[in-house]
Amino acid sequence: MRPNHPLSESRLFYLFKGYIGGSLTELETAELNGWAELSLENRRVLEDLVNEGYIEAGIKNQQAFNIEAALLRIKKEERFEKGRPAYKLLKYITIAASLFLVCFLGFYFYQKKVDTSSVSTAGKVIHTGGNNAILTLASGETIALNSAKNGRVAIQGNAVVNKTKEGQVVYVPGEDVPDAIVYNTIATPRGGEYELTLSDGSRVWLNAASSIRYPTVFTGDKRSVEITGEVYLEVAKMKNMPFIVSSKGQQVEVLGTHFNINAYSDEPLTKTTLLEGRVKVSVSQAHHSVLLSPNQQALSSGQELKVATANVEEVVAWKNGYFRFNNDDIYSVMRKLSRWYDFEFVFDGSLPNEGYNGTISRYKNINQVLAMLEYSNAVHFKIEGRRVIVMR
Amino acid sequence: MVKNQDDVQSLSYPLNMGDERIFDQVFRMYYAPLCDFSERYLHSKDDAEETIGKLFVNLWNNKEVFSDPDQTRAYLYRSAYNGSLNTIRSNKRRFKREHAYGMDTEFTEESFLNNMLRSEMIAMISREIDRLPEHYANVIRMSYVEGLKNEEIADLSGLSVQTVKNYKNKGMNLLKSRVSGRIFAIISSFLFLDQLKNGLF
Repeated sequence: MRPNHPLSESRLFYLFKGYIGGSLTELETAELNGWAELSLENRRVLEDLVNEGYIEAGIKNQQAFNIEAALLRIKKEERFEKGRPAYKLLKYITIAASLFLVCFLGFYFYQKKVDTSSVSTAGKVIHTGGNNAILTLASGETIALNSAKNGRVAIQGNAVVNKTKEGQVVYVPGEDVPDAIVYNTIATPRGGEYELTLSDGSRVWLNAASSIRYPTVFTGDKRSVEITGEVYLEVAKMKNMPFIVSSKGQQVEVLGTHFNINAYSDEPLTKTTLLEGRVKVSVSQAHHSVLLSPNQQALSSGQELKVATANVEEVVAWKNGYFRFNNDDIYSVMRKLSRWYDFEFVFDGSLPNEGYNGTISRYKNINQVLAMLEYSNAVHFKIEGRRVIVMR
Repeated sequence: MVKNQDDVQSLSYPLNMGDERIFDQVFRMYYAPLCDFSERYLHSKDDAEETIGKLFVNLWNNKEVFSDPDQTRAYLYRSAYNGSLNTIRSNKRRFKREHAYGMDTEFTEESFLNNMLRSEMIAMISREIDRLPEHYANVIRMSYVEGLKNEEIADLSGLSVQTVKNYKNKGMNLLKSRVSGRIFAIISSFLFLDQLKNGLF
């Protein structure tokens, strides 16, 4: 439909904000440049938005609108409905009646459809997430790991890329040092998770809608990788070669430890949680870093960096195959679920400010998980295709 | 990066547009960028303001509810795009004349996304000025947006020239702490240029 914009709107906004703010990682910059290469018009937008003259003219234009006057004006318009109870009630009755009709017809046709072809509803149902990821080789070639055969998948810069029978990817370094450093990327879609072992033996678990970019063989004095989304890492100890993880505006430096990073772009904070050993977390925007001890969590956002005590069990629940909510608000609960089950959600009306508690397997179907949340009696759900409506 | 990750973070979701307090907040935040966006298609400030005014009346009357910032932005710009298209359709004769002057912007998905990026990114910077304490924001607007000299600002606002300078500096320092180096460099280059030109700095 939109061949020139393979990136989602929200992803593009995120990239542009970072671009203007100068906080993009190398990987993200490449992603944005890739988008800009798609058309002359795309390239122009990117250039305009760091052009001082263009921005000055734009700000002047926007500041010139008299917002308060406009607000008063539209509220005086005849079309602007004032609270008129009788009229409203009538309106609601009409809405209720038409909704009933729509539901009835929808149900009728749905039944008919099921009778004739049960396949046609596929793709409109919410599925439970599972093992699923895409490997991007140095050449840009992509491999769907789900459908790849077990055994050797590729050879990349002297490392052999194997897929194990458990459905993981393992990099085995060759004898010789490669001539050039070659990068691969593994990315999970919404509703996917994946596990891989890097050439130094470090293990990586990717949650849904996450990615990691890494050299196929580590050389030099550092091991550097870039991640997005949520990743759990068990870094192999190498005394003289620190492991550095870059994500949304922050860097984590380690020698050999177990830790989790949650850096989803739709979450307000990046959370780095340490289980074992020591890590140093720094934010790119400021010359500021903290050293974490086990069971501590670094919370970063832009230039801010704070340390808190972590509920480790809750943080790594996803990697162990379950959801664990511990006084989480409904928005954060829904964001988590929607990434794993790949659905959209909308809120119908305002909801009570309740904290949700509970533990449930990630491999249950969506109905079972939502039913658990409904026990609270503070919230109810309606599923329409791949959309979940959250209401009181 | 702008410190508040989300430009509309001061709003708590879900947003019920039938709630007057929330309606006003969203209006103040989006009216100017949406008009700017619509103007890119209509090439007329008045037509753009009328189109966006209608859009907000509909939001209020339908008590639209938004679940998150991405959805809010996407919905508003999509409506502004459709509204602008309707404005052109219902004023065909008038816009035909402008078409003849080659002033038309094509209504395509590409133009939609790119114009939205332009308007919204500029709004992101512009909102940072709006977020400053009123007296700082006013001085900075007069200097940056209207291009007035310190003396002129002092005359208009009844402040001393020294106070104008102080407000400008304090406001700029605040702005600096709120936006990243790159945006700040863009904004401040005008102010300092201005001050250099005026020989007052």
